[in-house]
Amino acid sequence: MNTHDQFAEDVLLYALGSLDENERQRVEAHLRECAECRRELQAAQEDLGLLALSTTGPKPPARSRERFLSAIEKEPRPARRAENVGKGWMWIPWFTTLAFALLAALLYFANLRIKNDVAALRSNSQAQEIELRQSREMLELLKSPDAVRVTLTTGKEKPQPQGKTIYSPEKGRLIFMASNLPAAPANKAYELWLVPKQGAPVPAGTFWPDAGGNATVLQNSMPSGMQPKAFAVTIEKAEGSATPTMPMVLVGSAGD
Amino acid sequence: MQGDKKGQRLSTQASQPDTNDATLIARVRAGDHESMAVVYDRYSGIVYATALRILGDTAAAEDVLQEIFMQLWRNPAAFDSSRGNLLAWLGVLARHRAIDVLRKRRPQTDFEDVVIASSHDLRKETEQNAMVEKVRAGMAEMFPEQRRCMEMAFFEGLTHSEIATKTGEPLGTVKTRIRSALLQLRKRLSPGEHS
Repeated sequence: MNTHDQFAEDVLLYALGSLDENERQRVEAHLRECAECRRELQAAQEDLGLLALSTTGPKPPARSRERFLSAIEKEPRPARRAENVGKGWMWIPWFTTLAFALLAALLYFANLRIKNDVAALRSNSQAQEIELRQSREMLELLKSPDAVRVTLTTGKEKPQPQGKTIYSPEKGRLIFMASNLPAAPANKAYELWLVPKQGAPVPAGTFWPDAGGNATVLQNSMPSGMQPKAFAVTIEKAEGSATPTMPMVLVGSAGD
Repeated sequence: MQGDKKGQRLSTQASQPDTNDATLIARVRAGDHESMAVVYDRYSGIVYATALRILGDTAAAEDVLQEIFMQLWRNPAAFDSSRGNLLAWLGVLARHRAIDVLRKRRPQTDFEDVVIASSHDLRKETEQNAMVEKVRAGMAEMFPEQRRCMEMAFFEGLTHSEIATKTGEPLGTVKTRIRSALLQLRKRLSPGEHS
């Protein structure tokens, strides 16, 4: 006896509504999975419908007809529900088709958006790459040992030690370039200081000039928002100092 | 005005007696009152007779009749004319609804859940009359025990457990009798079977 034979009697009783609640649920679960038993159920429903033909009796009274026709005259035309509602599980293919159509549309637009985003990112990345390359080239130029640094003076004046500082308080970044500096004493280093408008001088890095007397300091991690009153260079121990040691080798007011 | 409408209905029915069920339902779906009246005239007899047989009360049977056809009017799409015959479908619904009334319970069956096979072409009245004869003959041919079990299940809405208790038969026997009765009827009604 196969599965369908086992369910055959129960499917018929299910069609009759003659099963107990537990049995009914069991058959319904099986019907959801078994097309053959669903066909058997439909056949049983037809048998039962035709069984109704065995009844004999009087025709319905004329008042019933008038009652019905009067009711539908008064009742608003029902909305067409066929395409939306379907029959039991028959709505599933329509719903599935609609769901897949919506999903396809969503995927299409998502894909389009992702493509646009990728194109924008690629374009942005390319721009950043160019910018980064240019920055690196400028940085390498500043730090290059073979870079020629020439300080222009007025005629016969002997070149004097000097420095230039570019500082952004907001970004906390600093570039310092010095020239014509004599070599630092043994075990000593030059140290750059930011002298704020308020408070003690802040160390901005130690450096040693090259053979030409040139030096470059790049600082990316200065305290942000610090307003400078001046910049100064002193000679300190090689590892640097917490406070500047007089005298100042170079000094320049931030207002200059 | 009412009289005019009534006269119009009657003349319209007379003009489309041979229209098949699928066409009528399609027109009902479009809101055609006259087609709905034709459907009512064609099938109200079997719906009423079934309900009356089960309920034994004309007023209650009339209510079931009214309810079944109002449901069809409100939701004609519930009947799939491509996959079943309207007569059997209405017969099933009439039976289910009358049993609900008999048992004083809320409707247990959704119209849209009743999907039936379509093994018989019953679009013409002659075909329906022939089917009525076959069904009655098939019922008459059943063993009395079979017929009794089938009638208790179909017309009285008893569960197989209740039938077993009432008849004193084992549950399995009741199940088998009901199924064999229906299979016998199905064979009797099959298109190739002659009276």
